[in-house]
Amino acid sequence: MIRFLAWRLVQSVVVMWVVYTLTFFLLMAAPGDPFLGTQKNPPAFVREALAKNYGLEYLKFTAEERAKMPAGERAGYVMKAYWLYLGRVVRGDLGPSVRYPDWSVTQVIAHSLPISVALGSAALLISLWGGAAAGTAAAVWKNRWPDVLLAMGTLVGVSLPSFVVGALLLMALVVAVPLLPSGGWGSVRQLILPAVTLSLFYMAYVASLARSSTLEVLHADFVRTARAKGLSGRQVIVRHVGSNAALPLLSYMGPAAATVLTGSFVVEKLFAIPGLGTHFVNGCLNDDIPLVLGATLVYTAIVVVFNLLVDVAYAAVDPRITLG
Amino acid sequence: MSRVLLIPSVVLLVLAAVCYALSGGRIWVGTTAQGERPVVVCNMDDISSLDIHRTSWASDIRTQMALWEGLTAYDPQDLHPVPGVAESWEVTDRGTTYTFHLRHDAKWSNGDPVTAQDFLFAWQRLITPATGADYVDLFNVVKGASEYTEALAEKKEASFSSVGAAAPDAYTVVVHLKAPCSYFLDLCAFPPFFPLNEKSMGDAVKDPANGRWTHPPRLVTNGAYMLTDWRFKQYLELHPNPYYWDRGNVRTKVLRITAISDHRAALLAFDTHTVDLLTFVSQTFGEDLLSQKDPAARAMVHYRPVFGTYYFTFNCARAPLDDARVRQALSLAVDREKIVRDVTGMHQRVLGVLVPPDSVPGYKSPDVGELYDPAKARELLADAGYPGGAGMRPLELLFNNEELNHGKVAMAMGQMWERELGIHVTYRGVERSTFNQDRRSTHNFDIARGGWYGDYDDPTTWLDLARSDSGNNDGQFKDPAYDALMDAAAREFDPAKRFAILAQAEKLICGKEFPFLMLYQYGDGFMYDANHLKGVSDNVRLITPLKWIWRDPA
Repeated sequence: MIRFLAWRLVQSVVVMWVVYTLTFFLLMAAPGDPFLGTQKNPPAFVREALAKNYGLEYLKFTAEERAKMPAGERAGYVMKAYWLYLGRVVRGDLGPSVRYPDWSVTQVIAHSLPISVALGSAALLISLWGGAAAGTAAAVWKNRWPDVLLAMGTLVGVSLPSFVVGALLLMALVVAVPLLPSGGWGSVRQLILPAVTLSLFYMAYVASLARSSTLEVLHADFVRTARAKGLSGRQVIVRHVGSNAALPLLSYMGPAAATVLTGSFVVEKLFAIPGLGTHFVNGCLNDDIPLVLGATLVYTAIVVVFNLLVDVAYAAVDPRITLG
Repeated sequence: MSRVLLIPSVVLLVLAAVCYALSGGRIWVGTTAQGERPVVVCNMDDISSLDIHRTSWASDIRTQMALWEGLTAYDPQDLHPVPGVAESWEVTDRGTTYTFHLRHDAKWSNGDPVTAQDFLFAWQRLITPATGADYVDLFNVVKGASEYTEALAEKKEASFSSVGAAAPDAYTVVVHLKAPCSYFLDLCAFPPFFPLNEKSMGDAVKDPANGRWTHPPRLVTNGAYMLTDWRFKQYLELHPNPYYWDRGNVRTKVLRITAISDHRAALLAFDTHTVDLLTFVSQTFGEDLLSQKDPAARAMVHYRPVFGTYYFTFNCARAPLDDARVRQALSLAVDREKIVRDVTGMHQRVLGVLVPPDSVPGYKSPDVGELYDPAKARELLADAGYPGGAGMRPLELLFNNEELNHGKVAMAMGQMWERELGIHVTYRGVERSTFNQDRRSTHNFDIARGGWYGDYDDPTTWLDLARSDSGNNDGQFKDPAYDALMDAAAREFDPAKRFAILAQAEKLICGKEFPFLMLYQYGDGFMYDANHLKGVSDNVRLITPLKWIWRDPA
């Protein structure tokens, strides 16, 4: 177990380094100019000062100058910035943000990530329990009305994009019947609509997974044995079927959690939630290189950690799986 | 199912609770302890920076004006400069020397007096290249400023005493200008010219990469409000500065500044009264907002022509656009009225000049003749050697596509050209980074979308764009006659004569040379309920000094 964890840790560091490096060089190759200013082109010395402050001296040159630069010189500048940034990351410093110069990238993430994680966990909880219950019900009453209802619900949940669901919920529960606030962050009431919106897609997926795995288990020999020894229908479902049917859900929840917890751009924008999801898109649009690098690193770390958690959880629930 | 799902559920529940608490979320949010609901101002963009030298975003500038005060301030209604930290001033030496007398009761939010030295410290920081200030060149009107900056940029020795700004005593600031500058008092009310409290900035004075001095409670300001809380991307909370000299006029007890970038979410927040002042009129929903049947709802949309113009830039270094006749022909073939009526739907004010008319007091826009004349356009094109568009290569229209309207306007223009002039048009809609790079840096375009908001109250904030030595001359337009007129205006001491020369220069580019295809004056404004929110100013410059706004509970 410990050897397994240590080995996975080494792998994780390598994965994060590869992702970081790829992102860095992609950002350097992408068009864009973080020091161009909002409306005015700054004088050369201002670009130079900003580029120096951010440790990106390659970008003190305009795109035009960069295009004319000999390849060797360009590589020299890019590599210098790369080593500087990598060294900083190792020391735990992600540098200042370009779009938000008063904040370091670490601060930006420290403020935004908890919001996305809180929202994402709430959404996952809803989808996990809602989906598992609906899926089990559909399997138990196969081809009867709960099953038909679920099939329809799943289709809608998977195919309706969150900006449509969110807008519909806003129209229903904010405009038509003013029960909930339209957006923002800070109160539980503000959490409800975005969490439900975010959960629907995953709930639909979880429900269909739960349905098929429950059906499979329902026909297994040990279920027949359980029934034969006289357990009630409910006890069979809850104790014997449920535990075994839940395994596929776990393996789905791991990677899904990484995506949900790091924030959804659409839901955060729709409900004006100051989470991490917006930074992935806006960071790129604003040419905020340090912020994009930091956000990508955090995302990678979360994906890696959740995959590891799923592996460990698998071993914990299924005695046939051993780690190491 | 229950047993296996229990562990992940507990993990998620704990995660949700801990992170929710970490992010400042509360179980129940009621009114503040005093029962006071804050006045909520909502911008489209998050506050980028509160460092007065590190930003040029409108929402940042508006917030800085609430936190700081310059030598002068804007009149809340017509924005003419009124006394701020300076209670009076004299202008001598034919308009080149300003002597400001600072009021003795002007205080920082920590109780320290605001002195002349605080201004000099901030100005030196503004023009030091290492600061990387957005508005460094605004200070170039001051004697010796550009020379000082350039010397430091070239790593040479330079002394700030060579710059024409001095403090003979703690309450007097003397500024010597290179030439008379009719808008200098206006500049003094603009954030880059504000004072800074050096003591409170600590190590950020020496390290320009350290932006943390603007966070509460460290930030010390001298304006109507002080910053008490700043939750990143959530809100800034401002309370009245207890030491502010004019605190009697600050009626709002808690001011909250927030941002919602999604237009639908912003309008919903406004409709449900969680926002008191929305500092933009959504272009996405503009047509619907302006045509609302309910008069009370319509009255809350304070939409008007503002301090910026919308245009397309010709790449004057590329054939066939290097021929002024071709540029004029393209300009004359565009039916601007149709564009603002049917394409944008926002009924912006169409124009053929670069400086928005009637927005700079005393400046009279030149007459540039008919804007729409397809027959004359065809004649001009034939003169240039392209009768009926024959022999003309396809022209490409470049625009940024994150806002829908740019592409729609470009395509409407392209259709007009194809129909009226017989030329072939292609379209390239790209995301903002590529657009900025192609238009502003590599000049890789034929005709590109453009627009310019004025930074200060003078025609040169627009007219400088067409100077051949301007860093913002994206179309690489070069005309010695134009440069000569602009130089002559800079040397002119008489304000009326100076404006006349500038109008002549504007007529040259907008009536003869056409480096720009002028379309319309930007329309924008605020959304608020004037029955409840008082003191908001609906001026052309979209500046509303937050000091004066308050909510009438009645």
